[in-house]
Amino acid sequence: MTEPLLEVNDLHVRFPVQRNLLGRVTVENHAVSGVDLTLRGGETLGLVGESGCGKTTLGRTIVGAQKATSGTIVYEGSELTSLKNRERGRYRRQIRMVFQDPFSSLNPRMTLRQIIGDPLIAGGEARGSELEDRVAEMMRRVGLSPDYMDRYPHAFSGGQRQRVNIARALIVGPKLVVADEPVSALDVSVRAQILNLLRELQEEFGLTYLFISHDLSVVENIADRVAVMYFGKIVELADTAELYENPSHPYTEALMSAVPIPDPSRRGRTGRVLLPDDLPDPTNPPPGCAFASRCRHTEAGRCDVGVVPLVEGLRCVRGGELELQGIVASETDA
Amino acid sequence: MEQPLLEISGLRTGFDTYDGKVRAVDGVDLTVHAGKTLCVVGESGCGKSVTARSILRLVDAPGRIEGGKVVWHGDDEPFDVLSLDHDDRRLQRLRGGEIGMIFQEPSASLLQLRTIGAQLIETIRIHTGLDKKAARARAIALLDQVGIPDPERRVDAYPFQLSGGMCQRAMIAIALCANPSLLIADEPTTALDVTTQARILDLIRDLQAEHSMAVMFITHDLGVVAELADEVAVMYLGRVVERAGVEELFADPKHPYTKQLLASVPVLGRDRGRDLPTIPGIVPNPLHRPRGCSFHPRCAEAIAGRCDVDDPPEVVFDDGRTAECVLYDENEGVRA
Repeated sequence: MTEPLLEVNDLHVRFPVQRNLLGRVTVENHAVSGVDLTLRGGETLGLVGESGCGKTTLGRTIVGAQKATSGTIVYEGSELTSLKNRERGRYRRQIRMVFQDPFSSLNPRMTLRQIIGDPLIAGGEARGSELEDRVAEMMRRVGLSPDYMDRYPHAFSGGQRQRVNIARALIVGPKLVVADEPVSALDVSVRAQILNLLRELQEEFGLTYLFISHDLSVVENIADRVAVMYFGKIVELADTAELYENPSHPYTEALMSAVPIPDPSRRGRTGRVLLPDDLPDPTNPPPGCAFASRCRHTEAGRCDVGVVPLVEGLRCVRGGELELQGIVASETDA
Repeated sequence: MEQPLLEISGLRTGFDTYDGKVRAVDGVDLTVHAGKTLCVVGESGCGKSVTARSILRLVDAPGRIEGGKVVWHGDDEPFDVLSLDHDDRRLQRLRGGEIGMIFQEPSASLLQLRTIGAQLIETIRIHTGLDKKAARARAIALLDQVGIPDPERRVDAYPFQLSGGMCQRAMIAIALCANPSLLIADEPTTALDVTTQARILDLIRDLQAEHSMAVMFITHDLGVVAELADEVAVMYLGRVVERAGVEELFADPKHPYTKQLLASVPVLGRDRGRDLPTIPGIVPNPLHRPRGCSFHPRCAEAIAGRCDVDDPPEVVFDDGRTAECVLYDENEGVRA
């Protein structure tokens, strides 16, 4: 098995919601509450979940854009969360992020040369003609013509801007890229281009991806393993084929059954699980399984008490007892 | 034969900008049949939302409806919506009365400083003339019908106190308050989670069956189309490039754009770990629309000398489906 590149241990991130008169935090939002995760070198780990489950916060904490409340992040043997800003600098070049919105994540007053070259300038790594050469090379690599180097982002479409975003992330030669919904804001006809590009670049540069998305079809396409997050915790983690074909957590099953399939002959397929809306209050998590209030397999006295641990990639006390339905791989097409 | 409820023909809506005129909707023909669901599918900028807004004449300056007809076949004599005066009673009856409309961002479409009950009651009273008390009772009944739990209490809730899915349900309740014959839904589930989306789609389907209401559903998601549509119109750059029944469209797409789009979108269980076929290039800027067929620069089947010169013909096939493409013979509807 490949060496772990990054290990996240019992990570917690809390956001203060309310303070009392003395400035003490009285109400907190537990965005990430006890995540354990291992990223193996060269793999793509998909991280899926609905809005508010904490997947973006987890990604931001890994790249260092968000402070962890507690827990550790170990990257190639070094613990990152306890590092001071300055010491962290070295890792900032090895762990990079690609953002969701290609419109707001690029400075409209900077040219592509400045945007893509900025990490090199900031690190004092290259200037002048060397800088230009490296920017041009990177642009070619992501499918942009270097002729556009002195243009501003507004002149480009969403797909092209996402290429700029990727070029900026890769120019310093990172090992790990956290891609937060990198294709969600793109037109459907250009999503495939970006997904294929990410796959190509991974092969060429030996990258490891943490691919965050709410779109299960996209994640199935790109990920080797998938982690399902609910309410700040990983509830299931497995190889892609295993997770999609034989989900073990009722939430994974519900999530997959809700995805509309572009095939009218499968309309009204049996087994769609409709979830009620009762999301627990993130400032006051219930005991037991956070999904219990919406789960159709909840057993009083077992699911709503204590702490449900993650055992062999599954956080469910009824693990193994349940017959759950996965995605049937389609025989046609492909 | 199905009864047409709304017939759009030759609709053109443009936007005057400093860089020139953007022809957002450029000669669109569409028909919505009574009690049926028409899905209009396309990418951002294809004109699908502007088409929907043009039906109710909700296009704001600098946009302008420049031509075409939108014929409404209600209970009375059919009339062209676009030829009505702004203060025509029939237009007011149509908006929010016979045609209900819901939008993508439910929280942005609801007033934040008024309770959903107040917003519902206002619409109910405009369209039905009920008194306050009766309107409130109807508001509660509607909220119950769209699946909002505890409607007696939620009727006095403000939009920010409800989740996105609940706000969209409230929007649907407002759209339904005068028992419309047509519901126009503009990407109503795009901002919602998949689990919420599944339940909103279910709700729309149920309500449609119950009220025998027609639905015009605008989306970019082919999965949603397959779940919901009776008929589908595929739009690209301001034009409807293909129209067909939902089964036929997915089983045998005619237009190269439809074919390539269906192949390039990852599908659960089909595309694990493989490179996806792509549509090259990007959607062109509508200011610089390519000559001839606007899809030809990205088309895998384009014929040099024809597709980049002439406007493609609209080909009508035997079963009534259409495609705007030179690959099919204009008269017979078979591959030339």
